[in-house]
Amino acid sequence: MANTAFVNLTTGEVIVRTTNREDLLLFIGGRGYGSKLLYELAGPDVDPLSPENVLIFSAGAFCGTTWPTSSRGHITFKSPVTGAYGHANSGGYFGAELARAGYDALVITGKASSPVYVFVTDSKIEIRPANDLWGKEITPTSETLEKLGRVACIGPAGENRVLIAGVINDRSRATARGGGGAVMGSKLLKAVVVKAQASRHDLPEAFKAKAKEMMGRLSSDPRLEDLRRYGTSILVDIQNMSGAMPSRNHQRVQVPFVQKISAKTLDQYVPRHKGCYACPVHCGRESVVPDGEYACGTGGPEYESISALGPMPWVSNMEAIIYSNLRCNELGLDTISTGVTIAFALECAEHGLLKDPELSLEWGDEKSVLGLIEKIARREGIGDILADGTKKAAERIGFGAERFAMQVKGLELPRQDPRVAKSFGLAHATGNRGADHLYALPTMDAAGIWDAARRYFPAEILDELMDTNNEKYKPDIVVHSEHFCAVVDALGICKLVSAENYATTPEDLAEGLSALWGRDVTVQELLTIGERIVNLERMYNVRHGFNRKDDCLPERFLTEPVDVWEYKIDPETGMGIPSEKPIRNGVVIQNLERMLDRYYELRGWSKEGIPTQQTLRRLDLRLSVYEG
Amino acid sequence: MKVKVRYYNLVADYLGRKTEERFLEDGATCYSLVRVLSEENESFRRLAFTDEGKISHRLRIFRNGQMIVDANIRLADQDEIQMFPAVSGGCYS
Ligand code: SF4
Repeated sequence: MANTAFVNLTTGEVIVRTTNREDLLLFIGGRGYGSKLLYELAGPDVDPLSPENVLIFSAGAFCGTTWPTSSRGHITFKSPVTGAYGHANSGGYFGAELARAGYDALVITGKASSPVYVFVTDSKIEIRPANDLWGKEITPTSETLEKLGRVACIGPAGENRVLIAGVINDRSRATARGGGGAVMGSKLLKAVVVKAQASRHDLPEAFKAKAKEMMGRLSSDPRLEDLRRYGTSILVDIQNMSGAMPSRNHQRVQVPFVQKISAKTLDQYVPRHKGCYACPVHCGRESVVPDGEYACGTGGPEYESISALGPMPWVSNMEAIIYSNLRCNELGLDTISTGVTIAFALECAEHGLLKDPELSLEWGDEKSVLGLIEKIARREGIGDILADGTKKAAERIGFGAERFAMQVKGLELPRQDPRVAKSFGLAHATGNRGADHLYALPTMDAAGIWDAARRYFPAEILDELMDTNNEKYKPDIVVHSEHFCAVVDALGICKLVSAENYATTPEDLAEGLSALWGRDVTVQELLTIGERIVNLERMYNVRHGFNRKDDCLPERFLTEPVDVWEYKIDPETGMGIPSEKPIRNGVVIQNLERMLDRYYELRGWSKEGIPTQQTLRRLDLRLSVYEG
Repeated sequence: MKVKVRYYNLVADYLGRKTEERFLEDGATCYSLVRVLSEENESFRRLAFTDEGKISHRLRIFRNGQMIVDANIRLADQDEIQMFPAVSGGCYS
């Protein structure tokens, strides 16, 4: 247990309190603790871009320890894109540093009168002027502040209150989703810099022993070998083979140019692998385009960014994708929402709803993609409309543009196709921060995690559960996975070595937390904490008027079936040639309402998607406590 | 010997069936089973093997409920084998 700091940028007041032990026992820390604070501090009357909104940086219970991948930092805020619950999470070193400096959370409120950054050490917190940094991109900002400590900052996009702006830490790790960068910009807060003077010395021997065992296991786990070798771009090929590679704004689910954007192609630009704090996997990439018009060096691109900035706008030039990724990072944009918003713009243009005096807005035109990235970040021309994300942009454009907006609750879809990856489809609909692959990360069926499925589900449903095309038990996978992910985020470890593949299991985490807390935590208790966090986040949205109508998917996934093809690669051109007949015909979401019915029933929520009083009591969520 | 094999998702799509019983020579390994199957369908072969000819991590195989880590493991009569495509390897952004 450590401290919670409250920093009011309006008054300059800083208050540091010992974190309430009861809160940590109920919510663990990290995301769980952040959600608890958000519920208390930002009610329905708070405008997300007003001084009254809070921006909470929090560190999970394992953060900054010797537990492998205990690097993940978390931010929680009222989201300007959804108007309700918002959070984002990233690796690197910032989150671990915050924990090592002795903070469970740093709660920023108010608004500075001129640009500032907040400097945090174990013994003091200072608000310092940042006039010279305002307007600067991520690299120059980081270069200046890194002399002091680990940096999380915004770029011009966040300063301009672009709603799809994120917060970038450690130069290229993006705490991207939901508009946290815009919230930070609205407070005139350029950066938070943390310098820890001590390491976490409070660790029990049993915890250190379990962490050491996990470090050994993850260092040699065969399930992580591709990730170690190629990073997340390894997904490009297999997503395309499966028909889960959304392209042309989800009009298609496969691209013929997959070889041009595959992990092996990216590998030619990667001189270095990068890791986060205490990680034995090192899935991160440093890409370098040595010469030509896209000459640059940048962290990434990750799978999601490749997919959003490549196939979505139909761009097949890997160097242009790397460069687009660099520009998004430097400007402080969420690559997923940016790529999806650009694809939305291109489809609007295809239907005559949008045009630009300088850009063609044609599919596959990398100059249009790069031009729109700059215009969005600076709110120039049509960039000002697109800067608010697809939902708000569609409302402004009108004429039915909303059918091209690939979003749920205002947040753009990450890079799976709901029709083919149906577990993800349901998770995109139900996620409390909007369309989200990480709220549940329901890979159990698509990744073939049969051993884990056998542990958590009855034998008689397993065959249907593991069939990616069978919707019947998708709610079961999503509910279980949402709890596991909430726990992982509350502990501050990485989903790529846990929820995604069960290389770290809930049993391992229960053992670790038991050792850390010095009292037995069963797997069931641990997953119940995850359930409590999900329900609290749901209740935050319910307070903002959300219900079943918001757990939806864009019409396209319910009414536009897609075929999935087997592709042979032409050895001459490297392009994919589709088979004569598809391997899957007419794939579509068959019955979202039935999936929602079962999802709510499993959760103990009403048909309207609202937790019942009985469920809240079972989870020890006393509403009277949270309704002030 | 006879083994029961279940194919899931993309593996079933490529091979055109979800389940079958196969007769294998005594001493057959997991590797040899995958090799035989890969002769049926080029896409399955691309999924199942690395460029170096090893079984790829994109193919996840279970034998009687246990994940197979060493493809040279010998199969036994009445074994139940399951093959999944592993669409995994990182979803972070
Ligand atoms: S697996 Fe990758 S993203 Fe996760 S902690 Fe390790 S380097 Fe970071």
